[in-house]
Amino acid sequence: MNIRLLWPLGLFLILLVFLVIGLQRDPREIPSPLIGKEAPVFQLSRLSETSQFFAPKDMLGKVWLLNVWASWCTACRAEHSLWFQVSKQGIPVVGLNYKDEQEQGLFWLRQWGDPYFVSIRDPEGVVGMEYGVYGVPETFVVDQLGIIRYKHIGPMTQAVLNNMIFPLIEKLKS
Amino acid sequence: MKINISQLVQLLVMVCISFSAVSENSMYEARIQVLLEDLRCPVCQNESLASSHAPLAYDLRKTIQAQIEQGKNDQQILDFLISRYGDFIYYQPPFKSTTFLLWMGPFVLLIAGGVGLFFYLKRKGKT
Repeated sequence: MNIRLLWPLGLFLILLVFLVIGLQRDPREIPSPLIGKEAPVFQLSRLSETSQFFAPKDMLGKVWLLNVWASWCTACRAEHSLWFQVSKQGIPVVGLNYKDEQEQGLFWLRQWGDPYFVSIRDPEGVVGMEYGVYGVPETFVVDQLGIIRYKHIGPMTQAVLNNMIFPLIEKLKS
Repeated sequence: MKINISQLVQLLVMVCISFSAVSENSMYEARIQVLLEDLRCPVCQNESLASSHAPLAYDLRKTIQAQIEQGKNDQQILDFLISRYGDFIYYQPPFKSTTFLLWMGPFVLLIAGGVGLFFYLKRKGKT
């Protein structure tokens, strides 16, 4: 058989490899340029006590999570129970109530429970913009020095916790 | 009705001011529009920031407008956005190691095709 007839097949196979790789990537996940950089500085009031404030520097020395959520975000409901599990392991989860009404945010926490170390409010999404938030929920892992180590876009899952978040936190702590 | 000189001058000055304000505004508008067309909305990824109706696109448009009014240039605004949302937000990807294939791929294919064509025609000419 003429070997030259196999050329189109070879090219097709190369194309196929590229297509298969392309299909397995999630285009909704935009790699964050913030990973490896210091968590942007901010100061926000708490969700319940608006006279009290929170800043990332309050968490220096701890490995913590910043979870961006909103009462209007249905996917946040799906991941919510996982934050109880994370808190129970002694990992503080800071809840950032993003572009939400204070009342609605508080109601949501009363309804589904409050797993957060502290809840803060960002009604205008100003801090969200500093962190490059484009779709809630989003979760950041911040280390003891205040450096962002990981960002998860979309609802947290048990698999991501077990395979990515917990091992990473273990590594950061040691 | 008598209009004295000073009144006339006053009127002229006011007209000039309002015209300059309009032209400055439309200049801003045009600049924002050009900039927004080159920016991708992170939420609806096949829309530019100019056309997207996502709430985030609205916020980003507001922020960009505020930065233009603060006198920032296009590069400063781009840097602001890229440092938060990554190269992804800009429709013109930078030339880096990860985008080498993207930028150079077409030229590689062009050269490969040219070489292939050259040998094909050479062989065809012989027979």
